[in-house]
Amino acid sequence: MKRRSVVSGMMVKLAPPVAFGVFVVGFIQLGLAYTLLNFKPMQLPPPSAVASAFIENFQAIARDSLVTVGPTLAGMIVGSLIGYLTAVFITRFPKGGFGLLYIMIAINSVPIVALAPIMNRWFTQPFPAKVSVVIIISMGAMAVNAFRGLSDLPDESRHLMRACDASNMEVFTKLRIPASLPYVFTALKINVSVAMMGTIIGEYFNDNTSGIGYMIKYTLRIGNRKAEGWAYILAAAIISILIYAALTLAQRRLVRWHASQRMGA
Amino acid sequence: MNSKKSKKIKVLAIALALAMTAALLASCAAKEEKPAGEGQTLDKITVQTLWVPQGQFAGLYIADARDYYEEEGIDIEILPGGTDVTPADQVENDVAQVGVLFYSSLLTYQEGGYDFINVFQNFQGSPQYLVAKKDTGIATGADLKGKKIGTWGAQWQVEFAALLGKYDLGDSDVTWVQQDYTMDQFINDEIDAASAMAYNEWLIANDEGWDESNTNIIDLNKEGTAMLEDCLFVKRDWAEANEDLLVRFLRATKKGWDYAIQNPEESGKLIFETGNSATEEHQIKMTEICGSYVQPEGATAGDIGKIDEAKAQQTIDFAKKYGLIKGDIALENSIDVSYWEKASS
Amino acid sequence: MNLSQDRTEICLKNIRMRFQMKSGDPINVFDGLDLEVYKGEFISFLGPSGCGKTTLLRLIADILQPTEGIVTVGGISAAEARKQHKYGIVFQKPVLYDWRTVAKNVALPMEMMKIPKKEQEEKVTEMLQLVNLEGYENSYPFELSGGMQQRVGIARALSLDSEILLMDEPFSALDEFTKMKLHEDLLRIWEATGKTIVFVTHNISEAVYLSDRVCVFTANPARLAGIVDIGLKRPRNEDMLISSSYLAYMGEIRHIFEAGYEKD
Repeated sequence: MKRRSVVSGMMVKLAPPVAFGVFVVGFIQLGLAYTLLNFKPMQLPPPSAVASAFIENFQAIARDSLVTVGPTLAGMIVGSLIGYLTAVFITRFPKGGFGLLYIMIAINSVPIVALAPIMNRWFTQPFPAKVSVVIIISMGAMAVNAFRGLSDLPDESRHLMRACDASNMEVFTKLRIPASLPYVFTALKINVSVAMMGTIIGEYFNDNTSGIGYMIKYTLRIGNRKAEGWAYILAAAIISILIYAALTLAQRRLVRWHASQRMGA
Repeated sequence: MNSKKSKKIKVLAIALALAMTAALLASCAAKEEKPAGEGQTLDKITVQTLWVPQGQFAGLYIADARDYYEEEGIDIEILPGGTDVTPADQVENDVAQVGVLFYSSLLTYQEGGYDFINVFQNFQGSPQYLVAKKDTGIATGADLKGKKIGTWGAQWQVEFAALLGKYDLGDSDVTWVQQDYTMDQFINDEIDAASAMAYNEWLIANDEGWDESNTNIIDLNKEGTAMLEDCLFVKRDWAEANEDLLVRFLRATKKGWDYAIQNPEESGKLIFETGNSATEEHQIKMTEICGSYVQPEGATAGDIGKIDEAKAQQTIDFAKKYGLIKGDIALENSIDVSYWEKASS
Repeated sequence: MNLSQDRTEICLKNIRMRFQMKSGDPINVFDGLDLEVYKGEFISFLGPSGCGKTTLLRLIADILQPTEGIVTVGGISAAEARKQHKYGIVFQKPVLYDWRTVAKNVALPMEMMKIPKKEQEEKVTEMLQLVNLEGYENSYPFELSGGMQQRVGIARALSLDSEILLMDEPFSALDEFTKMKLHEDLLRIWEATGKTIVFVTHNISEAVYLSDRVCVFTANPARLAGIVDIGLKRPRNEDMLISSSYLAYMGEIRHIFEAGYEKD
């Protein structure tokens, strides 16, 4: 009985996005996008063409995906770590540290498009150039969210710590850090798409001639390979979704106690 | 009180109506002013170039500046390009009627389902150099094995692929590196050989102290692996429906190039004033060098824009051999010399 | 004199609190308040919101410090008493750490005291028995009802066997039936352990029913308006709630409130 309600709950949740996806794919595939919106098949290839380009070039796409995923994950992890440690520092030393948060937000709002060419100048190798872009753009969201999680606690939670005569260290390990975990996942989830974007835009500019970003730029400029370009865009979306799904699973295991994990599911 | 108010509104409404009528009349008058002259209306043509205003497109800008288009009854608009503007899509979507594109690139669009034809070949050879500092020891295509080569993308890279092929080298024998539109990677030794347009990046390198004295140039025309670059293209059905207009446009453009080639200094200055994308001196040099590709030594002004069928066929062959296109494209399907011939008679 | 000192568990002397508000004049609370809490008694701080009853509890807990005056707990300063874990505390909300199981929540103070794991486990079992939550060791707070969560909070406060139990409106968020059940349990625990309980509430009936003494506070200005000794015999039971003496105590306390407001 319970099992069934879980399954039907999932179906209710999945129905709208699936319906929307089917609608968009159908809208283009059946030619409505061409007749109603006047798009041209060679400019917006039908999903079937994108799918067959994806399958035909699967090996190359997989190779380029690895090139892109590496710096995305590395940058996301390092950037998030820096953001988190900054948040810890600000929480511990709010008086001196608070300005750091503004600096983080300021750095975070530098447009990626401006950042990518700069980093490409600083680092001659493509990998560090991409990683550094991703680090910079993923620090801010983590710092802001983690700071909230670490510091936005009910007074009584802190009073309990005081009643237990907890040291600063214990307040962090027993209260603040666990309390911040849901916020960490929020930030990581925000950072997935941002990090992918950072790497891809980095690849538009850097020295490499591989990676999803480069291949999107490269193929979309060639008249007979546009479907391939869309296949690469599809690959980027799939990777983002996979990383996001992995995070969701980890979140379910690690913070199943949090209210966010009980809504609706 | 109430009637007073409605009276006020009436007065306002009349005033508004009068103002609108006046504005309408004024705008009509303004419109009529433009064609002027013989009272004959001009045909509108929009051209989409590949890049910012520069000597590469001197024929178009000079024909505009010297009113050659207007004399042919054409109201011209030249749209500058950029990294994210693709002339093929601009023409396909009817934003422009004429576009500038590499002929090699046009072939890929043909294969992709765009029905474009080359009607006017700007550059008779390839102005693309591969340049390497002398101390790298790279002097010919044979020396490129194991080297890092800068590339801007498929339509540029394919000419180098043809060069490598001539020496039995392939993609796996070299490392391709994405090159930006500066020569910094070349100057800083991040790449061994750099792509450089004779009319642009090569001049930038010269400014930085890299010239024939310390740099080797691999000239694709001399290597025999050149492919046709800048041409003017249109949609086939548009050309058929607007034959006269296209012929007039080509005639004026040809005249524009002729003038630019004979007066590079004046032309370069004019282009600099249009776009100031580089220094005035740079624009003059660029116009001069581009002119030498539009009307190479031994050619006459009458040859400007002529599509050399042998070179076009070689471009198709290379494009196929080096994977730019997958299938066959018939020469006569991708070029149509008749418009140029009519414009030249 | 000596006798009374022996009986005193908590002593508040000449307490004054000044809160600096963001705008306007500082607010003064307790104009030199004196109060003694005796060992083993059940004492309530009763009053409307803004009367300072929670503030006073926090002074005892050394969560707040008085602007003037001295607080001693078990003969030592409040700060020292806190560090020596002289009291356990229960808040209005259960204040459970969501990421810890029931057992881990109860064990939290013991963890901080570095009490051996084995001993912790035994104590947790004992405490959960005391609050009628056997078998819930491995549940998470979100799996429990509000009443059960508050029981975990009480078990945690009792886990160190401190002599004093400070309770800040612990049952105010619970429904009437749950509250009645918890009253029974609390009195049972109190009688079994002989702890001193300081109980903050705004509910007159609750204060009378549970306490030996009720300190009545009034607001504007916050002050201790009177102390009422509750002579109802122990153990208490619900039949007393309709007895005439119970109603008389209720009346007396109401009277103190009314007098407090007439003075304004």
